[in-house]
Amino acid sequence: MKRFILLMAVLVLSVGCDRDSSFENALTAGSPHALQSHIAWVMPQQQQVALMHPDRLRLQRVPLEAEPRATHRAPDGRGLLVLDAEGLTWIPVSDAGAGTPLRVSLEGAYRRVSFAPDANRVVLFGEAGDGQAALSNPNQIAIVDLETGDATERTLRSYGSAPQAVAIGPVGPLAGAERQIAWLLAERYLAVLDLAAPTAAELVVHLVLADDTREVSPTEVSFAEVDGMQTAFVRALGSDDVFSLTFPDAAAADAVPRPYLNQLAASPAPSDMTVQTVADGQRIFTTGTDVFSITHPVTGRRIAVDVGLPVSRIQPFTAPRDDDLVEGDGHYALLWAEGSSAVVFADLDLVERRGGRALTPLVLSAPITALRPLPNRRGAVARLGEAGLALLDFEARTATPLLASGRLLSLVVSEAGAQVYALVRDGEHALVTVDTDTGAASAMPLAEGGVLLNIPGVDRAVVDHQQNWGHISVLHDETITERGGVFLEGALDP
Amino acid sequence: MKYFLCLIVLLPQLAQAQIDWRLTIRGGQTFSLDAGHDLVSSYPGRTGLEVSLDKFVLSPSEHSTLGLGVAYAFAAASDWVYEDIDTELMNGDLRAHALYRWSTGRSWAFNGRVGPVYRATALTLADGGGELMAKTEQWGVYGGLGFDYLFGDPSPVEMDELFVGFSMEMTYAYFPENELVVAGTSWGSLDTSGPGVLVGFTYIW
Repeated sequence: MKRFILLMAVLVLSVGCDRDSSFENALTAGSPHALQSHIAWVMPQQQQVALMHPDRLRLQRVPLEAEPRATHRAPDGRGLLVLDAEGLTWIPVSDAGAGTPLRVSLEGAYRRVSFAPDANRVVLFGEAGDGQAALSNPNQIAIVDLETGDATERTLRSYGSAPQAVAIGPVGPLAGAERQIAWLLAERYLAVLDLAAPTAAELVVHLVLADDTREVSPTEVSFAEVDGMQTAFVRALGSDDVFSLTFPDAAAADAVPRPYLNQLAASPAPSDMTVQTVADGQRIFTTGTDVFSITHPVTGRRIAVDVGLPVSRIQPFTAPRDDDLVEGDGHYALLWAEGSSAVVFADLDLVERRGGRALTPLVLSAPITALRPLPNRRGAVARLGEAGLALLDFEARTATPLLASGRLLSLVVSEAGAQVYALVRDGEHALVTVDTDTGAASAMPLAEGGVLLNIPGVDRAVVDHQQNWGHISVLHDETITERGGVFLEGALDP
Repeated sequence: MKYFLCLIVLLPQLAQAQIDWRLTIRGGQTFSLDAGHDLVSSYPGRTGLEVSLDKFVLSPSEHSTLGLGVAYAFAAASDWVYEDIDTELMNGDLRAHALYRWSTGRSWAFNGRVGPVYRATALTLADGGGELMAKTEQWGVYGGLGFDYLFGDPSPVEMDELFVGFSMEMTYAYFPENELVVAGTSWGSLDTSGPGVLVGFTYIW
């Protein structure tokens, strides 16, 4: 009997205390990310990223080496960059799922990330140091090649400021070598780096003279190829001009080429900017104090169009044209200001020739809180207050109001632009689909509310109900597929 | 199953047993060998109770008897997982078995039994936001080896009287792995097979 009891005690003790640590840690996930053909969650305590294709509905788990501190989505949902105390993990994502994660160890800790347009490189900056040190170095940055995993950490020369934002241009031939220029925006100056030569000393471009006390802070950079030369256009707070920077002189491949600065007249106190290749060539479009300006990037000639309505933002988009003014899609923009009830549709291909006649204003019944262009259509959807929507058709010059029965929680537009999805709460939760061609709306009840996403690549609306163990609803045509306990998938087979 | 039914019908007519009935009420633990049990609890055991009634129908020799029995058993485990999710695993068994008993003729008797078992299992996870339950029902095989110690040192002559004793049994249940799908999501395979131990009282008359 004694032996039997001893045997049972050994059995219990040997198997009773070895549960995998993943079962002891919370399953809680952060906000979902819409990646290429996948919805993704970062689960900090599980130290993993979970991905699910909204059609295949199978969970893929990517383990992380350390507890994540911050997560950044790459442009177009090409991947997820997860920062932790020891470095970063880059998870490329395609329609097939997550690729092999890239692990990069870093000395410093960074909070902010700027991706190159094709997500091949990244610059990390902001709050450098170990994150808990009494003294940190805000001019410390890290340049990481996301294809090779090479990382360079360095401190920028400073003139009393530190990078507030980073804009990275495209890869291409520039000043005699294949380069990728990064612009680090600090108060009163810009630091210029070549990410293809990450150890090369940066060059600094001062936007004001040393004895000029004006506060000129660069806030936005747009890139374009002007006369065959890659050019950066910089909008700055405190300046009525747009700064144009080019690299006409050749330089060694391991050095940063010298930028040449030019100032181009823009709208007074420009609040937004876009650079587009329209029917008449490259043009810089700016808004400011209700004036919409078109600036020639080489001659600096500016045409100002009085909008007559408060506009502070430009949302450019492309859509088919009725005429053959340009090859391919035409170029358009929505000019508007948050809190204003007016929106102006600008035909960017024609505005230089026709002035105000190329602008179509629409005044809505309530202030606009969000505005989304409809892809492939000369239209947009506006969110009005807490319960209103309006479908804007700039061809017919109509604004079709749609009133939600309850509170409008979120709004997304399908990739093709044919549908607008809205999450509405009127006691019960519902997912509303609006056909952008007919304006017809249909609602489907949901068990719970949550976060509404449209997944790029598969163009599928997904609601993440933000439940502890994962709960999503996927809109498939006119039915909703629900999945509960998403994060428990395979939990019995550790 | 066909042969099992034949035994039930024919065996009582083959011989007269020394004892007729045995009732056992025992509690104990059953253990999971499957790592999937980690989703339920860090401790691999379930606490349960079994009530078994056996009818002895054949006595091939002076000390041995054969019988048939049925039992109902219930076992449960509850704990937490993922820091804040409460878990509960319950299974109810309906068992039928053939029993072999070898008695010393005095206080001690040794038993062995084997038979089919029908198990209904429910695994529930709950947090503040709601609950998810996976249910499954399946057939398996059940067996046990144990002993009875009857109080009062009964002699074979007295076996037609009621005796009370202590009973203990080591058990093993086998079930095929079973996939649990809840709200469209497969949680994976749960295997509730495993050994166990039962301790309690037996009544013989």
